[in-house]
Formats: sequence, structure tokens, C-alpha cells
Amino acid sequence: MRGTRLLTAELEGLYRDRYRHFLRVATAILGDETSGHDAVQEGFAQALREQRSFRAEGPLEAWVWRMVVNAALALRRGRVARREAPAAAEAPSMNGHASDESGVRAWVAALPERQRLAVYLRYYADLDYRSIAQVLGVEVGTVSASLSSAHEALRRSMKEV
Amino acid sequence: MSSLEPQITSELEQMLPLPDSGRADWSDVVRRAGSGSRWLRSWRRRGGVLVAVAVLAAVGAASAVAYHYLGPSAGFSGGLSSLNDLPQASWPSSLPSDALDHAAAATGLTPAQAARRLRLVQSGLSLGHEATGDISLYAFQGNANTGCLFITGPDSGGICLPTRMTSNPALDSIAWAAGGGNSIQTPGPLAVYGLVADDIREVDANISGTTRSIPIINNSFYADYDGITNKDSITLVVHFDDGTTRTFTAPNPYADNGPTHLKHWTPTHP
Repeated sequence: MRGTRLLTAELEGLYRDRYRHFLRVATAILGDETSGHDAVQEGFAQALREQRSFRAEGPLEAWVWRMVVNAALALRRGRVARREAPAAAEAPSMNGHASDESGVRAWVAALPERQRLAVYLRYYADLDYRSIAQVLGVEVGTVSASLSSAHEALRRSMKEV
Repeated sequence: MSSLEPQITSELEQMLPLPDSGRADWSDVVRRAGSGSRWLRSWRRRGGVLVAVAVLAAVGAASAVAYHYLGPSAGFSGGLSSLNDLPQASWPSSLPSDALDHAAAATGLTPAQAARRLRLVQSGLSLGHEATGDISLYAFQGNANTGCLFITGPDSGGICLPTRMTSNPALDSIAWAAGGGNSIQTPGPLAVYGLVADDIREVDANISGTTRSIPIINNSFYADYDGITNKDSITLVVHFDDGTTRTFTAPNPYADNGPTHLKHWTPTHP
């Protein structure tokens, strides 16, 4: 079992190596980078506070991803409770590009929550299926099915265009 | 790998390119970790609920707790007599050890006193289709009509009526919570559980018009459901010995589009 000091160092290393990917996923969930950064900071802070509960049943990174995703979802939920308008829609902004409502943006926006999170973790964080399953607290097969369904939905939407 | 993956990768990249690391600030993470969570800070500003939220946050595994201000309460003035008849229980290893300390402080006890008063009130419980039977309820009675209930299992957590909240009859005799396990997929499971004083005769849960009476065991109740969707309504009807009835309505934990780790909820006063 790793000591607290060693785990803190690993968390800091993970933060420095992967901050941009955590920020991208959190931004995708929340719709703006400022909130995304806040979620990343809170997620890692929670990981620091609760590092004693990490049981090494899976990779440390997946455990932290779960914290960050949960922090982002909680921030978003808080907005809904306060009836604040999100800084952007469910799907991330187009980075200055014109919206293509029949393309990938619309596809992402239309996905059920779990599939959308799986897509973000797969394509924005480059996580494998096993890690995504650990982040979302589901079986690997469920992740595979979620992404297959998402791909099928995109395939259908492309045929309709 | 799907033949669509390269296209998806490319278009998602265009939608949201990898940001730069200019905002990264590890010292801010450390500072936040040391000063309590954002949610706790926001609750602190509202005053008077710090103790309850701190207890919940400490017990509630890896999540911020979607928690509503209970308001001051008379607490368990009707008594929690069955707890006196049960043997002392050990603190479950699946819950953070410091949660008991926080709960003790919130209810006017020392950690040692809380540990001595801890009781296993129900065990062998399951959540929806996850019929593992490994969920248990623990409780202890604090000073001045206070008390705490803890749940183990996939969505472990705890609820307390702490000393600062014991002057509103609207919340006398009951503390309860509803949570949806750790699934975000609907239909999904739901747990409704709580601690009740001796003067509560019956507890009924009404899910979208279908009422089910929940047995009260050792001053506690627990009911689990499967197939809950974001359209379902969740209501608890509490019957008191004096013939009065009180109804609580909980928000559906799946209704806000499914957090990864669904939250327990405790009621505002009706």
C-alpha cells in the first residue's frame, strides 16, 4: 500500500502531466473553461483529501478522473439548482467555427448522459474502455455498448444528411 | 475500433482543442484540499448548517452531497429506544474513520462515546437489481434528541440531525434520505432510508402513485426500488402514533440528467 506522501506526489505528477486533458473533459461537461478549471481543481482537491480511501483496485488516474467528472457534474447541477444559464450548451463550443447542427456537435448533444461522458473520456481524455468503466462505475461491456450505440447514432445521423 | 473513430476524433478536436496549461496551479489544489470543499464553503456562508453538511460530506464517500437545509428540528424527541437493546457495533471499515468523529462532534458526543453508542440496525440489504445483500444501516443516538444514521454499500453515506437543528417540530422524529446508487443509467435503482423515533408508527413510500409500506426495524427503515426513471415522483408518508400524518416529497435523483454518482437527499421541512 502506498503511503500518503507518495500518493500526494503521484497526484501532483498526474496533475502536471494531464491537466490539459482533465480541463478539456471538464470544459466539455460544463461548457466553459473557467468552470472546467474549477472542476479540475475541486476534483484533485478531493482526491488529495480522500487519498487514504484509494484502495488501488484500479489505476490512480481512473480514480482521479472519477473525482473530476463528479466535480464537474456537481457544479453543473448547482447551476441548475440556482437556475443559472450555463455558459454554453451541453456540447462544447465550436471554437469559433459555425455550428454544424447535423454533424458531430449535434450528435454529442443528443446522446444520453452516460454515452456522452463515455465519448468525452474516450476521445478527449484518450482513456481505454477499462478506465472509462472505472470512472463511470460500470462494467467494461457497458462502456463498449454505450460507445457502440453512440457510433450507431452518428452513423444514422450522417446517412440522414 | 470503429471506422468512425478517426472522424469523431478529428471533429471533436475541432470543437474543443486541447487547451493550454496556463491555468494549472497545483498550490491552489493543495489550498482547496486543506480548506474544505467548495460546497462546504458555500454552505458556510448560509450559516447554521455547517455541522450537518460537514458530517454528510465526511461520510459521503467521493461526492459532494446535494443537500437541503433541514432547518432547526426537535430531533428524535420521541426516543430511539430500540437502539438501547442492541449490542454495540464496530464502525464499518467501508466508511471513512473520521466520519464518526465528525458525527460525534455534531451530536454533542466524544468520538469514544459515539463509538460506544453505535448500533447495527439493519443488514443484508440490497439495492435494486444489485442484489448483493451487503448494504447495512448503522445508527447512534446523540445528546439532546440528536442522532445519526449511516449506510454502507455502493453509495455509502450518512445523515444526522445535529444539535444545532433541534427546535423545529416539523422535523421531529425523522431523518431520511433518498439516493440512486452509483448508476447514471435509467431506469435505475433507488434507496429510501431513514431513522425514526418511537412515536412513528408507519412509513410509506409512494413512487409515482404506487404506495409501499416500509417496515420499521430498530427505529430505522430501508426500501429499495428498481426501474426508477427520471419521470418518477418520490414521496414519503409518515404516520405518527397520534394519528397525524406528514408527507415529504423528494426530488428524483435521476431527474437532473444523471450525475455519475447519484446523491442522497434529505428533506427540507414541509
